[in-house]
Amino acid sequence: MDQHTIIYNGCCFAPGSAPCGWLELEGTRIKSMGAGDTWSALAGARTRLIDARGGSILPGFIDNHFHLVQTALNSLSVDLSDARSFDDIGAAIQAAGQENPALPIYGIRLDIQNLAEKRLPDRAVLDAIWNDSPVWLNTCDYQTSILNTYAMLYYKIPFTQQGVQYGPKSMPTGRFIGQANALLRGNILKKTSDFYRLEALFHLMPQLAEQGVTTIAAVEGGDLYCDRDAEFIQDVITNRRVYPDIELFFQTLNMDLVQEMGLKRVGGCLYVDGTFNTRTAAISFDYADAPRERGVLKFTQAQMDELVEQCYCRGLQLALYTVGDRAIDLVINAHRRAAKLTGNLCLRHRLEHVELPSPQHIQTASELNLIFSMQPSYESSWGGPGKMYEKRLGDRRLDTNPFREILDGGVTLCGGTDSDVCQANYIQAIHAAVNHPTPEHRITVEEAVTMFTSSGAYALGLEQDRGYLKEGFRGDVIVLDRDILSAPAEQLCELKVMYTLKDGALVYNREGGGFQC
Amino acid sequence: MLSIQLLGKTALRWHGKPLESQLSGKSIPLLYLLLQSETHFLTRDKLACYLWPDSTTEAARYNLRYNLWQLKKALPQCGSEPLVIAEKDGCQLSSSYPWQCDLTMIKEFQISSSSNEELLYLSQLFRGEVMEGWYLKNCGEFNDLILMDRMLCERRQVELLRTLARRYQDEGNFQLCLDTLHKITAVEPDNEEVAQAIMETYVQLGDRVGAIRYYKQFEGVLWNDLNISPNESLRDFYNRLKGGENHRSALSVPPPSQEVVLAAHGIPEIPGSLLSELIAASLEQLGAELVLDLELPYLQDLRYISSELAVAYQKHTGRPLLQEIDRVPDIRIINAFHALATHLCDDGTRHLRFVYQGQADPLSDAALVKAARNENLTVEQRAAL
Repeated sequence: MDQHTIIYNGCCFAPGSAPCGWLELEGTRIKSMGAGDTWSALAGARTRLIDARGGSILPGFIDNHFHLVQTALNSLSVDLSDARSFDDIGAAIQAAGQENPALPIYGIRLDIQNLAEKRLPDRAVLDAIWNDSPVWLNTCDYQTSILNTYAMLYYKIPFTQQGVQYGPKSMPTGRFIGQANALLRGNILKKTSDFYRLEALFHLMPQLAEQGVTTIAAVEGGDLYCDRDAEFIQDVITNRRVYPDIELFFQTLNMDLVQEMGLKRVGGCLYVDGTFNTRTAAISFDYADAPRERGVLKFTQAQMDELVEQCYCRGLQLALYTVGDRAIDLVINAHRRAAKLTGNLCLRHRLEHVELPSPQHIQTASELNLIFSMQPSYESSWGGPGKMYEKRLGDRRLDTNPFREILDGGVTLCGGTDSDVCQANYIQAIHAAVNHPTPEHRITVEEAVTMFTSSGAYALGLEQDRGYLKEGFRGDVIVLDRDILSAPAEQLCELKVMYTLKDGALVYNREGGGFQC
Repeated sequence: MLSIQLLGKTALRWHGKPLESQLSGKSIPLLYLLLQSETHFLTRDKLACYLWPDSTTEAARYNLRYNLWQLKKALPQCGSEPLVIAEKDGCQLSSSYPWQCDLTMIKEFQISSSSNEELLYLSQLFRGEVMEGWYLKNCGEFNDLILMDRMLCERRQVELLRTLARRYQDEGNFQLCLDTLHKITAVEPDNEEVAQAIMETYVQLGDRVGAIRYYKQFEGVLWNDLNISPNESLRDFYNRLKGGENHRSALSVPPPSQEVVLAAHGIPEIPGSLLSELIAASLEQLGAELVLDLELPYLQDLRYISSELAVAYQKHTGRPLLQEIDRVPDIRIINAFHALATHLCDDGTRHLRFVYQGQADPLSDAALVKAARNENLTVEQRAAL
């Protein structure tokens, strides 16, 4: 018999509809909604009743930009962001090693700026700390890897590539940068078993349920990651039932392979430019702290035209990583050309991040039915006075992530966390969008929630199935501890997810045991 | 003959019969140490230091004796000596015992004096990493030896394969050359020089489509691994192939099919005036996109003598073309103009003819002399009217 659930005493998020205080789910779908006590007639002996206690009842969150496999693997990794010395690194590694002595130890988020020694450790340091299993450390930007000797003998090392650092007697120090680092990362990730990936995914699930996300657009493969991640996710989607639902974006230029895999979309972090932090995002003015630096475009216009045209012709939804205005320009020009050539405006192509769009970009994107897939959490992390945006962009930091203008310009705006660049916390993301450091760019709570619900579904072509609280729609529902629409803007970040239901099944109950799957 | 395989899964075979299962502990590492040393001799103290650095002298010597005994027991007797001769001071590999080892062969062969068949045979020895799967805890020196041997073997493998490929190319054995080049990509997947060689070899085999396909595959690999596009030379080659040119001729600079005449009048008294006019003419006739594709430092130098260039740059890119210094030396202008002329003729589809009347100013004259060295460029002076 199908599970029957009624969530009552809440505030259903259904913009444009009459106010509803309860929601009925039967099986995997939403069956009905209503106001007052009318739900009580529907409750039976087997009905699960959930008292929302005045809190919001929302569609499950949809994250449109999530590095799922890397987030999962990193959740099993040693977080070195708090390490202030080699001793701290040592303590963290030893603790991980003692917990799982037979497994390789992956360390992440190591920041040389935080270390008292003001240099990165080398393999001699790591050998002294732990030599019972391979140790692989990553700096916070993933541009440098450090291995102990065990790892150097365990993994395939690209000795002939540029970026292998050597010390006295021409012996490798265990540090890798540049090409060698990129290849080494690929070799290590390829050697990671799917069993370990699956274990990592299972390890991550409770955290995701706690945050109320029920659909994730997993952007996998490609540079700094591993194509095997994309293949693994495809295998998981096809052959397993996992939480949450996953839609795959394969970050590759190999369109033949994408179509062979039966995928409808391609891209994600297909880098058109870089980041503001490293001054590689392509902008049309000098970086404030590096005169004459304007970042780098990784495609010529001709290359971008060819890539975009291919996607239009093949009917593939394309998602491209664009941070700076020159990158956005390049991509929009290519879309304009391809749209003119093919007349096809239905593929819902996306630009990811889009941190510095101009009014012209917004207007053209609207005309071309392009979607902006953006990360409000960036403004919490980097926006506002004194933070990274201002250091790099100067006064132009006031132009970053203009959500208001984008929505007013008629562009569909969907939300993602870019986990684990930022934490997968949707309440925080909504708070960030509503409390944008630049007041003119702020959006309403309703609009921010929409970014992570119905617009998120639209961006994935799933708006007939989820993202709304509507009869017949998927039973992906969350309940918050308060009414999000009446909470003061500055208190939004305090809201909590109390319940998460996926396909009508309760997967998370904050006060009743947490993760239930 | 005892066959010792140290690359890939370590193996000992006596006339094909596997023996490694009869060895345990550090017997194979012991054998490796003797094999990898140049003289195949190591003192007992040195062996103990490599393999039992944390043990007492007595314990280490005991362990060494035990492992030597294991080796002696496992390896068949052949002739008067065992493979490993244990002496008072050290251990020595027998010179009369019939053995061969892949690692020693790789270290000892001379690439230049080896025949193709020998190189091919040696290339097959690279079955995997040196001492694959081996790591001895707390034996830092031993582990470092393995690392050094792995670095050496990787370099030797690439050197061997490059030599073989070159020889096959010279002999006209293009298929074998191609197969060999592909083997290099297994070690250096992002090597653009090798990628270009592969494409050229496809063309020599008459397989233009194969060359084009390979480029797309390589482009994807570069993108996935390093987030970069192929270099300009490779892209140009690909574009020439894609353009449907006679594919063999894509290998060499094809005869230009079009002559473009850029005419200008200079003012002899004004330095660089003729060059400025020629730049303006090239912008007008060849298009800003082509001209502005020149490397930025050269554009910045030419900006000193050409406002048209600055205007075109601003219009095309949306940002100003900034001059690096207040006054650009003549030599830089000459070199920049030469670079521009080369760039405009670079794809080989056009022949440029610079035509000017009267006298050129000295700066322009010097620049044109240098530019005229390009075989796809002619400089013609006509009498003033």
